[in-house]
Amino acid sequence: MSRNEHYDELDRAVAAVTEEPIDQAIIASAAARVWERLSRAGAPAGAQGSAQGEERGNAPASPLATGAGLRGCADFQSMIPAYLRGELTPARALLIEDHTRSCVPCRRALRQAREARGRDQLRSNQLPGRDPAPSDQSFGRDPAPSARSRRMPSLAPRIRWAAAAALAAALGAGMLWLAQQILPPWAARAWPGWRGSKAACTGSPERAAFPSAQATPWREERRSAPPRTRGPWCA
Amino acid sequence: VEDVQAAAHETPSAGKGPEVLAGLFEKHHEAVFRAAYRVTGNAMDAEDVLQTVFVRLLRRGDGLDLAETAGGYLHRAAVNAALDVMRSRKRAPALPLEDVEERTVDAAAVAPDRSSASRDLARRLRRALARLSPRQAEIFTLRYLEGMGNLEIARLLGSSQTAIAVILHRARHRLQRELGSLQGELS
Repeated sequence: MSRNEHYDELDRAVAAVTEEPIDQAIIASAAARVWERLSRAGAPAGAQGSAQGEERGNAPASPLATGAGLRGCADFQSMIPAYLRGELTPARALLIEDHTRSCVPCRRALRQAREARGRDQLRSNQLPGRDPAPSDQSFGRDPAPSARSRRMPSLAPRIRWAAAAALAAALGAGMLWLAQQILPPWAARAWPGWRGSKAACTGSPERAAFPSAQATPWREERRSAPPRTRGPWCA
Repeated sequence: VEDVQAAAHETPSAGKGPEVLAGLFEKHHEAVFRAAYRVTGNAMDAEDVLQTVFVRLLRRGDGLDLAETAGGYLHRAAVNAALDVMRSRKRAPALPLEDVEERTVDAAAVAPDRSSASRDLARRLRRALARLSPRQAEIFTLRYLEGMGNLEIARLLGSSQTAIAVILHRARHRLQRELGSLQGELS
């Protein structure tokens, strides 16, 4: 599509939007509903809404079910579950957010509903055989910290330190054993204390303390070799 | 709407507020609704925008002292609130089509005679607007959907005509591309 055709398409799209007819009755009924809400809030009845036959004092049906507007905190709070499930239209969600910014009771209700929802989701996640449900995914938030900590219970610090020490000891012992298997004889001579002090220098029966070491080739070579000169460290 | 009530009593112009508000609503509600409808393409969203605009007006401390400049202010407020709706719709999770149809009065219901090609073009333009930067979308909407002149927009936004013209040029260029890509996505 050429540049001019793109321009034509944009102009046609603008024309399609601006020439879209709107039924005057729809505007009038919408204005009546909005004015009714505004006049309940303190503006004078007269311009639009009071003559539209809406009876004050009657409990309004659920706004979500009827598509009618929001008339008070009770209406806003009744829509909080749908808001948390992400089922409201964006305009409705904006109204709720706008209202909860300035209304303390509704903000508290929203917070409590959100916490209860987090608890419910956590409970459903912990049931065996169930896939974890998305938690507050529609709002791009992390799960509540309490939920997170309950899902991954933290070990007490003492237990963690003890486990780390045991692991380090086991690792050290393993390294010693491995070194004993693979180190050549000169290393043993250079570090006699490591192989059992005198035993390493004299070849005494104490060396039997390392039975597996006797099978290695360099041990055989040591057995057949002439007596070694004692090092200064061999008493 | 208890916060609206509180706002009405807290404003410095609370004494004359209700009468001024009635006059502003009487005079401008249709323009606000139409502007919101042009951006959202949805009567229910437009109604919510109408309410949001007047609730915010009531909450403003000096909100009811703008009788002379109210037209431009309300026009701009309606466009911005409607664009907010379109942007949040872009972010919101998709609803099943049957749910959407139950809750909205869309363009097809309001104007059943229009061709589907025209409705498709309008829908693509609305979606493309939500992809522009807020300033580009506002200025484009005021200029092309609301029919304001560059000078009028510049005064309303406290900017220069040159800056407005540059932003409009970029917005048009971006919209052309978005319209093309949306054609592929929606078909």
